Amino acid sequence: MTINNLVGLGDANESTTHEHVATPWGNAHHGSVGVGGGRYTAIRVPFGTHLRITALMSPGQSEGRSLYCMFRGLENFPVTLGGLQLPSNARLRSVSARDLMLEPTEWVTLVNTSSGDVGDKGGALLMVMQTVKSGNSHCLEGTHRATIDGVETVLSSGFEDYYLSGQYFDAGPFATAVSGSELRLSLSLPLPPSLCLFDLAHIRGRVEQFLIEPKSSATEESICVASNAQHLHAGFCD
Amino acid sequence: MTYASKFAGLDESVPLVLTAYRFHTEDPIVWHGEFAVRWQNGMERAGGLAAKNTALDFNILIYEWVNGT
Repeated sequence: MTINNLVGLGDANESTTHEHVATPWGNAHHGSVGVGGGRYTAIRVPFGTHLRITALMSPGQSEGRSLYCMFRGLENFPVTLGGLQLPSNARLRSVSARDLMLEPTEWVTLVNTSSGDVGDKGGALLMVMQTVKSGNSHCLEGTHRATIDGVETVLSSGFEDYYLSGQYFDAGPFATAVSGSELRLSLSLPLPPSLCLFDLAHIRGRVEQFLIEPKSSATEESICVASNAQHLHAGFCD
Repeated sequence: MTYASKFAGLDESVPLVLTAYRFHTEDPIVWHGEFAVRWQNGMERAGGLAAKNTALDFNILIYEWVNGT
């Protein structure tokens, strides 16, 4: 996932400008309040004895770029979700895909946790983010359906309904603590200047500033997992 | 649907690029064994609501744990 993804934005298109398509926004969970940076997320990342955070330069960036970021967390503190305390061995996992091409009315599985041993693993859904690019708006008629422990449930009667809006997002772009939408027809998105993606890196104490060397390539990885239940909350200043 | 208002508008016949996010922090969805989510690219292949080919990016975050430990 990219920094933009963590704050609920899609990836930028080919433009690398920092033009904002909307005024700065933010809430207790996440936000984007700067042009060249100012992205933050309060997603709780459980970890045990250690945690690794890695920042990678996006391809084509020049040398000598600086990254300013902050990561803060608590030790020996439970992680809760909607009032539910998660087990101490809970870990955050990312599932993502890019440029899946769907034919009209085709179904796509966004996530499937099924393993060989039913009942072996439990879990809770934290965030869903989708970017759709289509020849018209009628992809929004498609519904979301979940299968929870063998029982199928209709999560929405249409795309925008799942994201708590209605009528093809007729109120325009919005961002709340629980859902948001950004309509882009031909506009660029702001990108943090130095980041392509981040996964978790080994940290001790509080990291306030560090220099990064540009990598020759950037690859996407899932958010890594560690051992005991502690959590991390990250803010990105630039 | 085509609409135009003071703050927003949409012409359903033109190409669409849209990103949306949803957090389940206030309405948890929890499972004990298996979980899957599917989405359908539109509901019609012909007629007034006929969908077109769609390119999809998605990111899902889940908490996961081994039961009984």
